[in-house]
Amino acid sequence: MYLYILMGALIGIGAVLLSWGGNPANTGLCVSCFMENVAGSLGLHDNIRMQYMRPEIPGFVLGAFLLAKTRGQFQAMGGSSPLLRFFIGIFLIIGCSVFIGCPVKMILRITAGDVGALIGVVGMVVGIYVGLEFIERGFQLGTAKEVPAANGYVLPGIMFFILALSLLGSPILALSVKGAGAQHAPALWSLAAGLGIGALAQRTQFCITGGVARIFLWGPREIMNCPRSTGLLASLGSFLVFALVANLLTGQFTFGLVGQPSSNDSYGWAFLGMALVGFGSVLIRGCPLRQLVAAGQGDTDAGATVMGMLVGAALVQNWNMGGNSAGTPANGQIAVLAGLALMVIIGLLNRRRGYGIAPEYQVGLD
Amino acid sequence: MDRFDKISMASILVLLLATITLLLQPTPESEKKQALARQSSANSTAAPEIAARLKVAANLLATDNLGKAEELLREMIGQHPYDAAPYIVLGELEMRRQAPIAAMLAYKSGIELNPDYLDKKTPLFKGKQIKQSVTESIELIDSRLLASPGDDDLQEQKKQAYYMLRKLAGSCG
Repeated sequence: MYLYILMGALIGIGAVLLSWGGNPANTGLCVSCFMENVAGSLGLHDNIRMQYMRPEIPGFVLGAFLLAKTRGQFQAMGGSSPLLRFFIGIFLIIGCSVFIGCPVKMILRITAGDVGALIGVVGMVVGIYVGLEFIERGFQLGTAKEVPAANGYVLPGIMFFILALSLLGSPILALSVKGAGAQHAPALWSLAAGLGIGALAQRTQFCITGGVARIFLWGPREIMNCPRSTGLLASLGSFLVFALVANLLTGQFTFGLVGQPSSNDSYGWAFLGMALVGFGSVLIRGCPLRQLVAAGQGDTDAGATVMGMLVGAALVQNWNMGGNSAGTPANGQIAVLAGLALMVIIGLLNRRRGYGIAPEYQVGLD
Repeated sequence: MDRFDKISMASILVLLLATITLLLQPTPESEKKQALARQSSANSTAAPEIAARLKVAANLLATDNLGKAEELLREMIGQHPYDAAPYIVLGELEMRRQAPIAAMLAYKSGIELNPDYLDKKTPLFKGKQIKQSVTESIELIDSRLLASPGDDDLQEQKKQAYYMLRKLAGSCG
């Protein structure tokens, strides 16, 4: 149990320290924002204010990779509808960007006093519930099988390569000198936090949507008898408490609905954006952070999702889909509705009627 | 096909209809303006003619010729609607007139065209002045709302002030 509590403490304190150390306000850690920065640094979009190779992202993957290798848990697996996962990955980031933050940042926003972010929790829970309705009615993307080991090294290899380019100051990577991309904690802090969180998340299989999904799937009573479910909830609770305390201690807590960083008053679209994230995450068994960690331990299907997330991050910027202080742009609204429709279509086409929960969801619902 | 399939298909239909309806809507003016600004702001602020006229406006402001300065700035805004600098100087002018709401709205137009005015890492940073205008605006709007709570203009101004607070607080994007 202490490992789960430590996981929450590490991500909570680490994220708050990163925003205190230079990352944008309330954005100590955010997979979707950081993916947009990484996409920009790789030249996949041209927003000069959003280009920085955030070391946290390769840190998550490499931290998970290193611990998985050390503990003999690295296993190259794949073949469970990678192309569908790729598209779901695209829409996960679109949903996050409309809400202005991934599930991790949603908790960071709440613990920094942003009352408006609570609508994201409601949206995410509704999305998870809808996703589980499909799972309980025979949804499956196919069982992953062992694949040649080289496949599992691809994503950690890519992450290592771009991290090395960044640390060596390669001019290949674009670097913002203004805007959110120019706001960052010292690279070594970011890398250390990324590696630590990635490793511990690999060990505990930390997942925000998974923690909530387990309550719906197994029920509040049953969950207390399952160490993993209890552990995931303990991680979430610990994350909330430690991030709240850290925000209070570092003077980053401002309670209220108005004037919060990374927020707007498009609550309906924020709800739908997070509903899309919750729904999609359940279908592919894990939130955006979990996808990065799973990719680090050899899951090539999660690797396909991560590549989709990167493409989604570029599209968000190129097509102006992300939420901003003024609200949700028209393109973001269209993308969220289309994304929700796509999730239902995927759910509908991948159901085995007459069957219950597929084995892979019973043993590994992250 | 079971009941769940039927519910799913009905959901898909509703979502696709809503998507198509949104697709057929014209792009909001504010988003068009931002897109145009992104293309035009890169070279216009640096144009020597604009810089020279801004200097004249600043001198007029320094010598308390507020009327002439405003005239010049409004002329510039008419000629270069996608350049942020005249709006920012107009904001300063309105603060000198102790008209924080007008100042805030001028600053709003300016930062929407060029967010560098809110970025500490750029030499254009005017965050403190802009924040002051927003704080004073909110105080003024609140006091006026006490007198006439149903005033739609004041409600709209308050909405703009909250938007400015969010801009000042920053974002990841």
